[in-house]
Amino acid sequence: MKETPETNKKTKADVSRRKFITRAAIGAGATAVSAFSETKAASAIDNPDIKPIKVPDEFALAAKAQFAKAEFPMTGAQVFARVCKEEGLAVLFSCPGNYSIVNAIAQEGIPTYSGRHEGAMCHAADGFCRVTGEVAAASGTEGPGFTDMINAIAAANAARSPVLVLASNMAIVNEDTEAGIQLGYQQPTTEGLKKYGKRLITPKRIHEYGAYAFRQLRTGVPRPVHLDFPAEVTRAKFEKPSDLDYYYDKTKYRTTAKPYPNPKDITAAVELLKQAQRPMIVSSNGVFYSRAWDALKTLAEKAQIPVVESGAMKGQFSDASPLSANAAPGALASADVVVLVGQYCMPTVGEFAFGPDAKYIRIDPVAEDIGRNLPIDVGMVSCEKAALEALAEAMPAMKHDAWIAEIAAARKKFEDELETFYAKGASYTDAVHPAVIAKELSDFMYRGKLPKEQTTFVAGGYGIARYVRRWLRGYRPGQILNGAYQYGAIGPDVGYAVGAAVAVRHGVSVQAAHKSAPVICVTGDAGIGYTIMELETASKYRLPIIVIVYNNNAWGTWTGSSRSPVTLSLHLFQENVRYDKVAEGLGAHGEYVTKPTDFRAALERAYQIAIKESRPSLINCQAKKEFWVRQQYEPGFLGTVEPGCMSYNH
Amino acid sequence: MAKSQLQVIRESLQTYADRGIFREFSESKTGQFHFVWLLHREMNLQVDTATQTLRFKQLLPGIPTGSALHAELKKFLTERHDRRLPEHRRVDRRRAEVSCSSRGGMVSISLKVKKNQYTYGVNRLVNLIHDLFVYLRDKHPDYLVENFDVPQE
Ligand SMILES: Cc1ncc(C[n+]2csc(CCOP(=O)(O)OP(=O)(O)O)c2C)c(N)n1
Repeated sequence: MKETPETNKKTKADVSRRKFITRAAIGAGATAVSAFSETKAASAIDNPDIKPIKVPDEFALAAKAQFAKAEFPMTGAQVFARVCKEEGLAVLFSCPGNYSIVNAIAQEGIPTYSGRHEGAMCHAADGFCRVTGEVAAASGTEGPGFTDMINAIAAANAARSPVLVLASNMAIVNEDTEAGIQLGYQQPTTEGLKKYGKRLITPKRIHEYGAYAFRQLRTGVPRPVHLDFPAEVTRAKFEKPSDLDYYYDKTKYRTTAKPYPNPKDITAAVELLKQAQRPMIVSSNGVFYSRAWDALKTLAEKAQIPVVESGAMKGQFSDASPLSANAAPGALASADVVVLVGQYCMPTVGEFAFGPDAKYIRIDPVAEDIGRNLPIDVGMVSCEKAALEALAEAMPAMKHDAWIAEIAAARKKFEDELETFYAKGASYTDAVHPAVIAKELSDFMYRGKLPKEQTTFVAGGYGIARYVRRWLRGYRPGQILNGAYQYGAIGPDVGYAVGAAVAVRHGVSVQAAHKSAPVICVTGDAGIGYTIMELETASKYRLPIIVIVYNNNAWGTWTGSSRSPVTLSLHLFQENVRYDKVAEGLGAHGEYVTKPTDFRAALERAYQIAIKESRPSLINCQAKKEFWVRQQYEPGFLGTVEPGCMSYNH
Repeated sequence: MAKSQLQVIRESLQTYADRGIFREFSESKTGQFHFVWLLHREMNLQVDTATQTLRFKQLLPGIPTGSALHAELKKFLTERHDRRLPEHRRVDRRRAEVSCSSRGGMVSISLKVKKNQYTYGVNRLVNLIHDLFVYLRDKHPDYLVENFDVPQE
C-alpha cells in the first residue's frame, strides 16, 4: 500500500514525539498519578519556540500526599466529607467551585478529579457508577456549575445511576436579594431528575442529611441525589460531636437488609418456568447493582434458561456461554416465559422483541414499578440477588436443548449477517465504513492478543453505535458501558470514558482484575463536540483512553432532512474536520484514518501509547454521511432489536 | 351449542386485550376489530368467515406496489411458511396462508385459514404482525420514522 505524504509525516512525528515522553505514567489515582510527562503536538515537533504540553509538578506532589482524618473542631463541609468517607464514596468528579465541600472531600483522601466542564464531570460520575456499581459524586459551583450538570443528572436519572450531585449555594442570608451572584433555587430545577434532593439549611443537621443521601443512594433502585449547600452550612464550625444533631454511625441510620422474595411468589414463578418450553431471563441494571451475576449463572445453568441483557451496562452474563442470547435477536420472539430481573427502565408492549404470547415474571426491589408498561404474570418484590438465589434453589435441573439450539441458530444467522455487513463495508475503500470499525475493533478486543474480558468499553455515538453494539460482547460484569441509555443524549461519551478509566485505574469493584487497562470509547462526530475537552482531563491524569470518532461530516440525523438543502445544511459540519489535531493540542495522541485498511494499525498504535505512556488517543475515522443511505451504500443506517447486544433504550 | 366461528375469533383476540397486549379493544361492526398495539397506532382487523380470511387492513402506509420494500415485504411473508423455521414461529401452509395486497401505497396483510382453524389463525397472524414490526425496526428504522412517527433517535 502506498503511503500518502500525510501519513508519512505522521509516522515520523509519532516516533519523535515519543522522545518527549520522559516517564510512563501508571498512576493509581487522580491525586495519585505516579509520573507526568511532556507532550508535544505534532505541529510543534520541529519548532523549538513552541513549548511542550506539560503536566504541572503539583500533580506528582499531590500523588504523594498523605491524608489524615479531620478531627473536631470541624466545619460543616468537613463533617459532610466525613460521612462520604465513612460511606466509602469511591470518587468525586468536579470543576472548581463548591470549594469547601470539594476540598474537604479531597482532603479526606477520596480520589478527586477535576475536569473542564461540570456536565462532563457529572457524566464521568455516571460512567463510573455504570462500570463499578458504586456511588460516585459530581460537584459544581452554584449557578453555572450546577446548571451545567442538568443534562448529565437527567441522563443518570434515566439510567438509574447512584450519582451524588453536590453543588454549593450562596449564603441564605442573601436569599431573594440578588446581592452578589449566582444564588438560585436549585432543587426545583432537578425536579423529576432525582430520587431525592435537599437544600441544607440547618447547619447542625449536616451529618443527618449526609445520612439521608446515602440511605437513598444505597437502597432500592438507585438514582441521583442532589444536595445543595448554602455557605452558612459548609462554613459552620462544630467544636465537638454534640454540637451536631444526629451524629451517629451508618449502622444506625441505614440498613443493609434487602427485601427477600415471598415464598409464594417463588412457587408461582417456578411453576411458570417449569411449564415453559422456551424460557428466557432478561438481566438488567438491578443484577449489576445487587451483584447477582453468580446467582444468575447458577439459575441459568441449572434450569438451562438462556439469558439476554439490557440496561446501562452489560456483561453480567458472559457472552461466551451458549446460554447467552445477546447476539440472537431472531430468537427473542420465541420465548414463552420471560423473567425480567432488575429491569428498571421498563419497555412498553412491543418495544422488546418478545412476542405477544410471552408471559412475564418481574423481579424488582420496589413494588411501585411492577406492572408498569408491561403486564405481568408474576410480580416479585425482592432484591435481585436474593430472588435469583431463591429461584436457583427452587428450580429443578432442566433441559431445553431444542430451545438452546434455536438460539444457537439465531446467533449464527445474526453473525453471518454481520459478516456480510463487514464485507460490504470493507468494499467501500475511499472512506471508513462503520462495519469496518465495529468488526476490527471486536477482533482486536476479543480475538487478538488481549484477554477478551479485559477491555472496558464505552459504547456511545448514534448511527455508529447501531453498528458497534452489534459486534460488542461482554464477558464479565462492568465490561460494557451502554452510553446515554434511555435519556439518549448524544455527547456524554468522553465524560463517560473518563469515569470508566478512573474506575479501571483504581481497580474499583469489578474492575479490580483489569486495573489500569486501557478503556476504549466510540462516539460520533456530533457526539465528540460536546465533551472533547475532557481529553485534556484524560491527558492531564494520564488516563489510557482510546476515543474512536466516527466522522461522517454530519449529525447522524441528517437523513430526515435530505430533501431540502436548507434544512439539510442544519445537520452538516465542515467536511473532514480534524478532531485528531484537537486531541493532539490537548495532550492526547491523534490518528486520522481515511481508508478502511488503515484502521487496525491506528488502533494498535493508540493501544501501545495507552499501555506504554498511559496517555489517551483519539482516532478520527473519516467516513461519509452517505453511508447512512441504504440505496447508495448497503446496509445503510441500521435499526435495533431489544433486548440484547443492540439494545439502546431500555 | 358450538361457538360461532366469529365468537372463537373474538375470544382469541379478547385474551390479548385482557392480558394488556392490545389496548382500546373494540368491535365496531360485526367482525371489525380495532385495537392499539405495537407502535401505539390503531390497527384494524377484519374478519370474513365466508372466505375464512383475517385481514389487517391498511396496516402499512407508504409502500407503493412494485417498490423495493414491497418486494421485500412479500419475501418476508413468504418466508413465514419456511419449513426451516421452528414450528412456533412458522405459519403452517396446511392450516393457513399469508398474503398481502396493496392499494394506493397502503398494504394490508391477510391470513386465510383452512378448515376454520381460527384459534390457530388468530395466534399465527398476531405473532406474524409482531415479527414484521421487529423486522422493520431492525432493517427499516427510516421507514418507521417516516410513516409511523417513530422518533428518529
Ligand atoms: C444532546 C442531544 N442533542 C440532540 C440529540 C438528537 N440527536 C440524536 S442522534 C443525533 C445525531 C448524532 O450524530 P453523531 O454524534 O454524529 O452520530 P453518528 O450517527 O455519526 O454516529 C441527534 C442530533 C440528542 N440525542 N442529544
